[in-house]
Amino acid sequence: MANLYSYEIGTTAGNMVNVETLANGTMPAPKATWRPYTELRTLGNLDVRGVGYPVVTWTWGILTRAQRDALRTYCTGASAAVYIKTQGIDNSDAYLTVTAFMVWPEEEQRDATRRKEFSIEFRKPVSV
Amino acid sequence: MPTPLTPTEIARLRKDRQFSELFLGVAQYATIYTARLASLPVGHSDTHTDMVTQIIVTGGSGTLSNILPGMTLYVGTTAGAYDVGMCRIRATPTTTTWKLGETSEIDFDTTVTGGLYLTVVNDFGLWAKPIKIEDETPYMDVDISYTNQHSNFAPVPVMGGHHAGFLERTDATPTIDDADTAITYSGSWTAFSFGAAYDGTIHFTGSAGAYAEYAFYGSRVKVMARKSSGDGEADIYIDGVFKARVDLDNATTVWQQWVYDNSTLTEGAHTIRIYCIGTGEIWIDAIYYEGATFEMTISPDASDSWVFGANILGYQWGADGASATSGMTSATPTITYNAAGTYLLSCTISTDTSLTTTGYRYVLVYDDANPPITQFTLDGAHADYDAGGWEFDVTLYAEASRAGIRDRALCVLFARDYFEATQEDCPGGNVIATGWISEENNLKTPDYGTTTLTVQGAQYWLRQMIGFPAGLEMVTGTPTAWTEMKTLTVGRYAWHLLHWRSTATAVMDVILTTDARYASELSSLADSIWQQLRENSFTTIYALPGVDRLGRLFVEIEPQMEMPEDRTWEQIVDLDSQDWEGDVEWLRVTTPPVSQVNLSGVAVDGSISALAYFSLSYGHVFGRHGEAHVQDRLLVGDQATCNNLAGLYCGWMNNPTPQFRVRLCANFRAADLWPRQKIGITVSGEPRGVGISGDCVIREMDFEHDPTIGFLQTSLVLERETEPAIGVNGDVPGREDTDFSIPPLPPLPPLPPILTPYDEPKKVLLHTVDYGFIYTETFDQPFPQWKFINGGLPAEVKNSFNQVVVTPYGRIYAALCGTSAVDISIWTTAQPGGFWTKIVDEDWIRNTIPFGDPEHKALLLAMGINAAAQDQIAFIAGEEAGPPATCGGAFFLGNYAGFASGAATDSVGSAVGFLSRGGGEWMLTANRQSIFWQNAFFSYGSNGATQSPPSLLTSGSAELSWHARAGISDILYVFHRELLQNITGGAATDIPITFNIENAQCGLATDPTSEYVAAAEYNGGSVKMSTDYGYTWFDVEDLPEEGTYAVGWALTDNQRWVAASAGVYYTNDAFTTIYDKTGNLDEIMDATSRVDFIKVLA
Repeated sequence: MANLYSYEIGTTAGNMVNVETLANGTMPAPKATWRPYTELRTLGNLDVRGVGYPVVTWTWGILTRAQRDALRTYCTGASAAVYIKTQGIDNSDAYLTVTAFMVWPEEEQRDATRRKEFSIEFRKPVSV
Repeated sequence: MPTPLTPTEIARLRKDRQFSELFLGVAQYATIYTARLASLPVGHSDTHTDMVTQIIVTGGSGTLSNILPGMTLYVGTTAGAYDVGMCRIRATPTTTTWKLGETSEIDFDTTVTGGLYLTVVNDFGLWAKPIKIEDETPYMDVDISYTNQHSNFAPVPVMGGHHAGFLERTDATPTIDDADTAITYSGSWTAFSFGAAYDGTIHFTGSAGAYAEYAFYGSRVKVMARKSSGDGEADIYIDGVFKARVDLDNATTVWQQWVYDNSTLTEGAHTIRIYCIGTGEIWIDAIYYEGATFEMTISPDASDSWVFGANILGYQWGADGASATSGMTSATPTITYNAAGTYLLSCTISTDTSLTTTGYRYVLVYDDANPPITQFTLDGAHADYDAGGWEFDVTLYAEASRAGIRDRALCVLFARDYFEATQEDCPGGNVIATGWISEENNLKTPDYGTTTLTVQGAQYWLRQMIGFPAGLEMVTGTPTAWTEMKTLTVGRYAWHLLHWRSTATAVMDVILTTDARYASELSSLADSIWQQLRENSFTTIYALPGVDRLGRLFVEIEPQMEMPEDRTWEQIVDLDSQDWEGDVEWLRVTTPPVSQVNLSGVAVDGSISALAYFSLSYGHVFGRHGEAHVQDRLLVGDQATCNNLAGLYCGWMNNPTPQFRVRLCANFRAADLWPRQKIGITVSGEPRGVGISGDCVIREMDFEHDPTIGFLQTSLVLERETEPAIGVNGDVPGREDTDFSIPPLPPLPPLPPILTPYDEPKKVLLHTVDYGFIYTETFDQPFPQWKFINGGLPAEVKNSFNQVVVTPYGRIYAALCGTSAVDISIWTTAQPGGFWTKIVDEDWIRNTIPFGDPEHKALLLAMGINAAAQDQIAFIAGEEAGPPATCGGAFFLGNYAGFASGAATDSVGSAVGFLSRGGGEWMLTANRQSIFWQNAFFSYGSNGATQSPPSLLTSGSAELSWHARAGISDILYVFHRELLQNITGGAATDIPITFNIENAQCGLATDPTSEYVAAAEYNGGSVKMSTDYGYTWFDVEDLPEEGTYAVGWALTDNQRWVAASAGVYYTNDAFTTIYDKTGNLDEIMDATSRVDFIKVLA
């Protein structure tokens, strides 16, 4: 069955795979959100400047253990450098390939063996 | 040098989405040569630790000629280790003998089996060069004697700071000619030039097994060759795997044929090898690939290199390991690296006076496979004006165990910067700060461990280096010693210090003030090279050293102490409210803290003639509020510039907008504290409505990096530029024509300013009978720290001086008076702690004064100072003739730079006398030529040109020779044991006393009014005090019975006095209360010894 979306992930540009093929093809596509900067700072003239790197966040409502573990192979520690293809960069509808630091969530909400509202941040995405 | 930000750069700093990746580069020093320690040369047979300057080595491995002076030697118990210590290679070594920077901190234990391991690495570090003194002669860096180094100056290479960065990818489709050195040939190949070949060259071989090899990064590769009848076959291997056999045989000869093409490679690093299989010749012409190059290119610039009194003639760069270079004999080469590593960059600059100096910097090159340290957090990078440079702390989480992080290694903190989330160059460059690791703090919690490294710039390391007291004096002729310099300026002093007493000029940019004010002498007693540099720069022309983020050292005049029209340095940016975040809080000073600046300066011309100037700011009347500040002994040009300095200083001290902090909302590295630069700022809108608007000086700067958001943020502490206050002519201290009438009474105006206002004296000079000169600057402390200041004085002389004077400028002259039987001489030093030099001795006397009979002894009769002049002494010397014994000589007037002879010493006897000047004339007390010895005094007028007939004193033996003068008045007390006489205006009066006064210079002292007199009892006993011109005396009680005392007036008023014997004592109430100021003197001086001279200097 063809994949509905084009979200991809890999450790190199050459080994990226569609996210929906993970966990034996059971992985749902994430919902991607985009934050163009990390913080807002108020300037002396009351204007606001966004500082820090952009962040792309992939969120799944529910993941099974197998699906969660499939993602974990790309980030065995607190963070890892990965390649992803995602919508949302600069709020673009197009899918763009970027390198980013994949940051594993500090807490995982459990529901039996499932993870709820599972979010992974991809910090400092840079187009390749 | 700093340049104003362009509108594009300013716009970049105001973009959203700024963040930075930080990297820590640590230099990895390459091993140049290894050997084992065999022994130490003769002279070190008794010790292998102390003052080692060379070693004997064996078992050397490497290329000896690659060892360069300035490299670092590891001494260890295992190969490559430095557990025993590190030192500096001092000179070009031989196979067996290596000269080292003098060291006492390494145990060169020659009993270790096989010898200690010696490893020379290409670490050109910052070291002090110890000075060595042998037989009164100083040698720089152990054995460099003075020849002409202070007239033919070594140049200083200015190459910029260290470099750090990544190999950057560039898509490439190059055709590599066979002659390119990147293609390596193995076996028997012939290079051939032929017009039809690609680029006119081709390589051929018929030898089976010979091959050509080329490494590239790409996804496609092609081989170009000649095809011709009878040519053989070539096997193509890629990454060691056979790919194809290519037949080059062809009926006709065709050139530049693509004979192999592989476009199916995975993009990456590959190596192609082309073998000749021996069936005929193969002619290889070129290799083509499609892929990328990974290179880092630097463009250093040495055009700011400089030299005193000559011109830079040439540049020769060295860049071992570079893949491509150009312009290597120009000031601005281009150098490319294509592999990761630590590379040494050198530049030898030469002058039209045939001198060269080589500078060394490092280039740290990284790629993905060989990254710098990345797993760390920056705990802050900070610089402030007082510290004189940058320091930063980094906490390492995972890469601290690297063997490459050597103790005290060079570190470069650098960044990859993003603006609007796009990688762009940050104005100011990618380097955040550089320095050497000064300490590490290790933390182990139950959960994790970290190591925090503190990295300090050169200012810290120069402050850690003990420097031998450095003193230079200006001479009019060609310098003949390390202590002499023609046209001495602060810049030249700094150059001497940094070039000859440290390795600074080789390992960092040194850019000095070009201020042209001359100094008759510059010296420092400060412990460290940095403090010596600071002290002599600031106390003379208000200059200070500072080291910028790139490790470049500047000595510049304090920005606030330049006249506004001379502040020509650049304004980097004009900040407004869109550039900072949060609050800006500043103090507006409405009550000036300084009410008067009393500044004295001296203008020295090329002939070392000095004129003193005195200035006041605001003027003679104190401001309504604030303290009085004294600024003494500045170098000035004339009265006007002296007034300007007083005004600038007063304006600076009373800055209505002193330091305030601005936290920029930007990754701002375009500015630094050094060299001088301006930051403009406009702040307004507070209720008071005063605002801040104008240019500021940067006093502090901080970089903070929040790793959770990646934002590298800059904070500045700024100080508003100040305007000079009013400066007017001051009063010359001690001048009788000082106008006391302005301002009128009442109320009484302050007295004419006293140049040294203080609560208690701080600087006191002693001479002792066994330890020479001893000095303290902490006399006002309960436990003063005394130290010896005999550098340059021979042991046989230092204890024997019988006359010592200190000029108002602070120069000390010490004389050993007598006849040639006692090594007569006069020695001087620019100030306490400076190097002593001999300016008069028996040879000088014999060469200056024609002797009637060369068999006669030479005589140095007396010495004294003109206390009303900055630096003027007189002495009487000549030929001892007779009987009766006479001084057939002359009066000499001048200073260390030279003496002019005055009146002949008619009628003067040969017993040691004493000279001083007051009341406008020089006076000698001595004995007169007669068949009977008679006490007398002689006047030599205002300048020693004439001698009066002797005035006989009314009583006493012929040894009534010492006198104490009351200030610069015409009042003397002449004394010898039981005899005391007062001479006022040339009229002598006996003063009856009932005790014996010590027969030495400090046997008696008087205050400037002559009302109070202190005397030490002869040959032991106590101290006596008179408060009525010597007519009645009381015993000073509470002084320990330590033997014969020396006494002195302690400046300011008639209540302050000092007395010393085995201990030192002070009173501020005419000996009613005694304060013990012995301090550590009894630790450095045996209790049986004693002081025979004491003088309070300030």
